[in-house]
Amino acid sequence: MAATACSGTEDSAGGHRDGGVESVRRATASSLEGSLQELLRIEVDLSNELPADPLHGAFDNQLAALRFSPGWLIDAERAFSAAVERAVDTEINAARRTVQPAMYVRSVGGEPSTGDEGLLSYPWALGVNDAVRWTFSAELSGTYSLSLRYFGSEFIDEHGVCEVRVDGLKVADAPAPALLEWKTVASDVSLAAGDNVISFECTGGSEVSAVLDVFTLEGPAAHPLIGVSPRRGLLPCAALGEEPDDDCARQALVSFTARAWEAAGDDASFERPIALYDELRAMGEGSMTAFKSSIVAVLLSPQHLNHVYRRWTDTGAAAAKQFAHRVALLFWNRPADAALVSDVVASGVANLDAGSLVREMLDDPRASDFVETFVSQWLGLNWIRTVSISEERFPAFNADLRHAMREELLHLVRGAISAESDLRQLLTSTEAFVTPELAALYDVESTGEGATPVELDPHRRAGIHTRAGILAALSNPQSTHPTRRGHWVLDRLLCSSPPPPPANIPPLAEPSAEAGLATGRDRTERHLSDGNCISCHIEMDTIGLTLENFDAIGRWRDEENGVTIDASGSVPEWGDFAGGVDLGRRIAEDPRFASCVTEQLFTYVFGATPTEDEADEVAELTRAFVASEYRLVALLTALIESPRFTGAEL
Amino acid sequence: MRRTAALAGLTWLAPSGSARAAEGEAPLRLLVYFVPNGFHMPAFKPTAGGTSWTLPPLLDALQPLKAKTSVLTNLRNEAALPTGHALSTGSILTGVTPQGGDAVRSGISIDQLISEHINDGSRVPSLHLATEGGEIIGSCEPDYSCAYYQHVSWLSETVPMPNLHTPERALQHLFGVQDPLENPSTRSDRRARVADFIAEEARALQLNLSSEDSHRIDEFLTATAALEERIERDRRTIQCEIPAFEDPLQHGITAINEQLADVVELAFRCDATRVVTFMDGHAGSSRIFNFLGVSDPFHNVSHHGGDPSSIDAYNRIVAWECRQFAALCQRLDATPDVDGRSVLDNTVALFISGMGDGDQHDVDDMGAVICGATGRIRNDAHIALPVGTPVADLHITLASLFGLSLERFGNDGSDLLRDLLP
Repeated sequence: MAATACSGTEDSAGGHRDGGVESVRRATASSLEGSLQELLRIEVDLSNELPADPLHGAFDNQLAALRFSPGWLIDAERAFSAAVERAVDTEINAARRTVQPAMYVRSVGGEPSTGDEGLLSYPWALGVNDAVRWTFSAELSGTYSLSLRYFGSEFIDEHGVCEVRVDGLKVADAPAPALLEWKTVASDVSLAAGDNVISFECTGGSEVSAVLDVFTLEGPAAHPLIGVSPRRGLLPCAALGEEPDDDCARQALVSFTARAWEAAGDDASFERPIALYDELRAMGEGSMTAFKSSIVAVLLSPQHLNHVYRRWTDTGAAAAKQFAHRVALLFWNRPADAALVSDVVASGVANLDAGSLVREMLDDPRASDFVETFVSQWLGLNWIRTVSISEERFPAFNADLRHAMREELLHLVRGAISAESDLRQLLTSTEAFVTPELAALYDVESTGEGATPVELDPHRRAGIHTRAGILAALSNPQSTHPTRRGHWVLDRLLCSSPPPPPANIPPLAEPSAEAGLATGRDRTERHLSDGNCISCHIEMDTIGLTLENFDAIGRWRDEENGVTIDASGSVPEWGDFAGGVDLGRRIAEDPRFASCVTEQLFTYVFGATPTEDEADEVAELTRAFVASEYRLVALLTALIESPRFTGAEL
Repeated sequence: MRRTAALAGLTWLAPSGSARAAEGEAPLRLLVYFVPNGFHMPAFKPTAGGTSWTLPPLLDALQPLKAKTSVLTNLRNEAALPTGHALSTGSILTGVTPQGGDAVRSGISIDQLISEHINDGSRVPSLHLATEGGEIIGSCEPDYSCAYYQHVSWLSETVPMPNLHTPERALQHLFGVQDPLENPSTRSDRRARVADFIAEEARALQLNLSSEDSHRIDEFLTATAALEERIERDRRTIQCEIPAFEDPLQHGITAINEQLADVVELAFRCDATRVVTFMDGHAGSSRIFNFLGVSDPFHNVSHHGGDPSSIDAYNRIVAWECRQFAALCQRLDATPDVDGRSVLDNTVALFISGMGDGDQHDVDDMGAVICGATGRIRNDAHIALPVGTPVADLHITLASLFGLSLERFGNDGSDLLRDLLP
């Protein structure tokens, strides 16, 4: 970490008074998004509002590169003001989604009349006194929009009556259709969480016959914000539709400030925005306008825009709050919610079961942010979204395939970082989660329509470096790029990146049938025959060439331009090896892998690559990681227990 | 197709140019058009010198503007040694060698010095556009931050100016958000009080910080001052017509260039800013120009190794970049200014890369093009400077056009380019 000497106010004994600020780091746009969502309880997307945070090394959260520029703050003022306006105007979050209800068809009498239970038979034909029923399991109670389309087939008895029912109670009339006439019935229905039986029933006549063909139900999704009132969250004391009175606004402002600035840990400051509010009122602003502006001011203050970390000599509530927010930032990329803060304060940092906490944090849905930020940046999981691959040369490589490749990588990563997993699975696993298109690329059988689990050929593919998403991301548009693949292994998995290349390097030749250029090895060996290149390229190229059985989009190949591929290699650390599966084993056995994982995590968490002074800390964390049989959970536990993280005096 | 619905077709309340009030006196503006990966110098250098010159094939698109165009050759950017994309881009407007390792540090760039010098608080001090944003695949350059790849403009040694990538963002940035129901002055009063509050909070936080962290809060306070200036500016308004923009991402590389060029024209015409940097790709850009018949990434073909087909592909891409620059200059030339001349006549439009020939990352033999600034510089000439003339001297000369006299700039700038002056 860059010089962040403890700078708490020195007391007479030369020690540090409790709570001295140790470091200040600007929050990333993505963590501010999480923060606004927690504080304002609305969905916020800042990706098109604030400048993208520059990558520095692998990560976008590094101290050296996160600066305040004038444009940044001007953009933040505009974006935050708009978000606050929206929150105050939002009575309730009503994001909805279309759900696919489980369906079955059964006659009123209880005997199946059409099709089998659980099937999606199409269309559903109703006979006399028939009904079609669905059991729909609602995740949340609330109002759902139901829509049902049907038409009259054959003969319709004018006395027949059709209706829609929920749990046996009529919710809408469905007029009997004329012959071959389409009708749609739409209605808002109130559903309870859990199972609801929805039915379309036609009764009373002698010859009713209708055919149903479309049934949709749209309703609340299981999302933390659904049903929450942002306005009530901000102004619990003000009646709906009315301006708050000054006492209410002041009280709401203090509690908002306490939440927004809690992580910065200076309780005495929480009432300061009241003076701003009063001043705006004295300028003639209405109470709501003054309140909103004050909220914007709190959000734009340096206590909210920065992560302010302090050193604590005790482990009291202030230290516990900082710790809770820091943990939440690491795992969820957002501040802690009230429940997490109170749990940590109740147990105290010193008595906390850090291992359980890490598991709970990773089990939470918000932990997807840990994968999307730390893991994705570390391993380059997003590159597959933007890499240029020639569509002419590889017509199969379309947007769907890119998406499937990335999902497969995420699936692999989630498995490898889960509680009891050995992270080395990342390098050896043959389990994959593939769509039919990706299954075709892998030449495996897939059984369903969407993504399904499959086992890959263990002689060909094991580990993330043998998966199409990584292999394609590290290719040229037309051909493989062994150097880039090798560099990724050394840089991201072993932290042994070679020095920068000299200027005058021509790109590798494109493959051709021409003698001496047929294979990736032929083309790459130019590096190894040049005395200027060999010292840096020998390891990169050797490693990359062992992945040459995978083409530019990761398909297996035995030969290139009619020449059999030689995927063997030898490096001093490992001796002879061959192919991707062997490569994965070598990386997993290499002690540099464990220390590299630690170093990457350390860099991400503390915002700078470890200095020489911090080498002992990294070594100690690495030992804990290795001793746990490479469980990332154990490494994370050791990390959040370390004084550098807890803020305890070093 | 998404339109910038919030902005399209509206008449926006744009900042007033106070200089415009002085009837007949047009302001001078700066446009730096940066292109990545250099140029193949044999195709860039005009064969004849002086005024009997002809445009080289690479710059053919500038033919209609030849009378207002000059080509500079024999420039050198010593600050970029030992060379590479990070060093050359990170130093091209600063003249200072970017620091490696864990640091992000270069120098104050020339556009920022000029911006600060001419800024009277009545407009956005500078606008920074880039056609390429987002993800960089792999590492940028070992030992150098990606920050050097993505920025050419530096407010201070440690703060690069972030770029805007879409017309919508640029328009928001230039014109802000206006509430038609509220008196802009009332709104500005309130915003000013908020800005004042956050500055007070920053100073309170700063009291017990280490010097490095305190420096960060200084940067925050600089940004706060800019916000305050912006709020003041939003009080004064004139009318400025904003055209509709379609979502350029739907239309590919050329459309993005054209739309951001529209923004530049609008910004200058409305006097919303007088300083623009335009990055047509980040350092070492690997964009693919299939529509030019080049299927290899730009960076790859720039390392042509002397191969004729690679050189041809390289030249096709640079000629395309030059067409984009020429089209923008022609737009500016078709836009009348308050003095009866064109906006281009009152704009220094600089076309430059971080290096000369990209094959060797050559920074010893570089070139540049200047359009506009009619009458203020020597137009219609190939100005073959003494071999090894510092790029930083060019910057000193540009600053002089704006009335900013610099004795030194960057590592090696110490003199005016007298050959460039009329």
